[in-house]
Amino acid sequence: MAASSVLPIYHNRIYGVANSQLTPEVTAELGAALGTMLGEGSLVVTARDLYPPSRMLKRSFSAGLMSTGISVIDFHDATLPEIAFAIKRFGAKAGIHFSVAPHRNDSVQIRILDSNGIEISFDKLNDLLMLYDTKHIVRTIPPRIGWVSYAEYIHDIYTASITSFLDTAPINAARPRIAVDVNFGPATDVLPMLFSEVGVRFILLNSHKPSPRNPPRQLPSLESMKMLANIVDASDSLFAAALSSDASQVFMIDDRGRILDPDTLIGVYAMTLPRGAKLAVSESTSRVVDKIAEIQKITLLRVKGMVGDVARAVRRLKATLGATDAGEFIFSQFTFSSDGILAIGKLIETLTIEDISLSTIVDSIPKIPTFHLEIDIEKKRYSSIIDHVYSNYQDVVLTPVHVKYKVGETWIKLRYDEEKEKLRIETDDTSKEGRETVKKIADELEELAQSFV
Amino acid sequence: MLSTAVVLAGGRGTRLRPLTLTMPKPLVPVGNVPILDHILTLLKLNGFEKIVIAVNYLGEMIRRHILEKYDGYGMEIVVPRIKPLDTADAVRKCRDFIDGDFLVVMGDVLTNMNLREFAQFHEEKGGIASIALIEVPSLLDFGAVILGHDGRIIHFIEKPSSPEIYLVSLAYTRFPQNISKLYSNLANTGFYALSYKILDILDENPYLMDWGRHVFPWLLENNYEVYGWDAGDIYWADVGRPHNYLRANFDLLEGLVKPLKPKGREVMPGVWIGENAGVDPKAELRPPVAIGDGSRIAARAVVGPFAVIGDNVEVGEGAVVERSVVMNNTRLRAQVNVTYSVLAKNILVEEGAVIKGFSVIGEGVVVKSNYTVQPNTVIEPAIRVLEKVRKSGG
Repeated sequence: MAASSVLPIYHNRIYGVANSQLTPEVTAELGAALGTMLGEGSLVVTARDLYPPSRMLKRSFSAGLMSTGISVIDFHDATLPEIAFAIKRFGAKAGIHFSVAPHRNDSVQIRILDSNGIEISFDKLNDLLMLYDTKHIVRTIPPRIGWVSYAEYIHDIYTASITSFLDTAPINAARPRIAVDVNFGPATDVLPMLFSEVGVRFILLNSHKPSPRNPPRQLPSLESMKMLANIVDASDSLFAAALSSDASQVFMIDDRGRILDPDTLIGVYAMTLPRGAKLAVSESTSRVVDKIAEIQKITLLRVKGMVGDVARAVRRLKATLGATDAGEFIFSQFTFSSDGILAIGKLIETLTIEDISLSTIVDSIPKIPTFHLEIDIEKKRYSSIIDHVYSNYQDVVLTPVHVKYKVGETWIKLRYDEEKEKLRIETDDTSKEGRETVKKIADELEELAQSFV
Repeated sequence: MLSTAVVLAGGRGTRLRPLTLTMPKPLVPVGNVPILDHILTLLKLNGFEKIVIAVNYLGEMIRRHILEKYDGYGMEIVVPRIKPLDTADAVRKCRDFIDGDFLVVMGDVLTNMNLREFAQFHEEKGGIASIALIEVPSLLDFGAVILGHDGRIIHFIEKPSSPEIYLVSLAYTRFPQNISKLYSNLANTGFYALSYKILDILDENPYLMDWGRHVFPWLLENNYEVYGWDAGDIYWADVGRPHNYLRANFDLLEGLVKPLKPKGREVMPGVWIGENAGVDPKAELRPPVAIGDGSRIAARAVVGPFAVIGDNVEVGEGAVVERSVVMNNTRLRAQVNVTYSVLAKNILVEEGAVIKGFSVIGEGVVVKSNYTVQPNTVIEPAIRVLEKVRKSGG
């Protein structure tokens, strides 16, 4: 458990309702606590999404950092992958990103990256919260208070670096079409620049700022992904992608308009890895990846924990790629952060070099046995099911496509079909224990659904 | 074929004090082998025939070491004593010993870089200089390089500040296709392949003293062709600070620096034992571990993991040494506990004393029985540790 009783944390991130749990005063203290941990004279890079509370809290956090003698480079609105790249490029001791929280639209999440651009571990976050709680903050004397520099061109530097990472000649020759939902996030300013540079024709959805009437959300909505599927059909696009608000996660639709399960998407990337490559995935990733690893002769490593833990394993074991079934992809040669933008770029590169469609790769992914049951759930009740899962289970993976959670030793995947109003409860653990767990969960959720009536 | 190498071995090694107060940094052992010997092994493996070792600080110790150990080694080794003002000046002052294109290597770096491949790259490119590059997590402590697609260095900036990196990165965003690996933090390793003509340039421009700060920026400003060779996924570590020094020892034990290895015979995976070393059957060696020549490990002692015990070291009964380096002729009495620390030569640690994490103990120190050396302690050579040091549990 975390040391702090004041600030909620989830998935190694601090989050809270702006101006209630996370006031400017609280984040200023948090900034000072982090500054104390890093030590006077260190450099920290900061950025935020386009949500006004994120902007407010970043400013007060920066003030806290400055009070302990930390210098800050502030990128204003920038994606999480840009922050990770900036840490590496500018030699920062840490990077902080503020954005809307994944499952609470009224909340802001604070993601803290270490000097390797990797999200800090649970233990480090605990140390920070302990320092925050005990108020053992070391503020500096006035002449040594830190300075804030504003770096307006991070998008240009990051885009140029991605361009140099990709083999752009085949992309330029093919001039593919792509549709992307940037989910009202800062990728709004990055993707047009990148696509123009590498010769991709594009349609951007949900660009620019979120409106006050329509609050932002960290994960793209299923409705938006369905719209992308229609656009793919209508525009003959190579594929479509939907980014999380901070661009650290990506979800895809193939050229046949099929919304891809994030496990399938990992399968796509695994299929394109060279023989002998190392792939690190989160523990909950489908066993289909084991099958692909066997066929492709790649080394597969399963890592317990969050994306930061996968990133640490990628770094330690020198893996080529890290991935989670929450749509997170880590390209270790670029940074150790999950990067949805680069994932899009690499997929375009692969498809144009190989002159192959995404649907062809998807269809070539081997099938594995699963066990599932379906129960009836009214559309308006589905969000209560999600709340139930979040309240009662520790290990939860939420995406627009599915929710996964661990029951005992079995990972359960819930997929909801809005049209049929049916909830599919699935596992790829087809042992007796796995099947029994699915039956137990089906009973539990059915009972829960009836209790709503 | 390029076959001459200049090893810069004259530095004072101030960041590695107190170890370097009584020993020049190139002779500081990693895996019971002096760093200089690792470099000479690498040069020999890569077919270099003539080695010029430029010494200054405690240079006589290096000369003696070379005389004692490298007679008949199959390479021509000269050890001129010079008084350089900086790294380029050191090469300038070795001119009389150089007769063709040559390599410059740092005498305080542990690496398994393929030096022959590097030399061939330089010969193929035909530039005035080539710099071996590695990717680093942060550029702040290195010479940062922007590399063109043809391998030519476009920009070199020594130990840049963060705003400087920002501006340089921004300057090259317009034409990313012309830049090689713009996404990568390419840094100078301190290993150079140089045309003989560089010696004329150094003579004509006596104010060029340091390779990173003066020579490379000057060459680029004057349109000389300087190339960058991406050394790839190799091992490279500057053992300049105690923490890095420990890390380098651990990495060598772990086999990350192959073909370089610790001294001794690998009697089982991860256990290297020197000649005439004695390990009591009741002692426990936890791999990876290296025990030097003539050392004695008593019963119930636990050595490792990640421990390097030098030559003629005594590890007493029930003593524990883990994640540490203990250099030659040091005696650890019974029940001594050493973790995450570096102990120089000729130290006596009396019974029951404890040396805690990230401490560095200089040569000839005596640590009295049952005392605790607190974490991050640095003790200068030949200081007797008395009651000032807190007792264990006190």
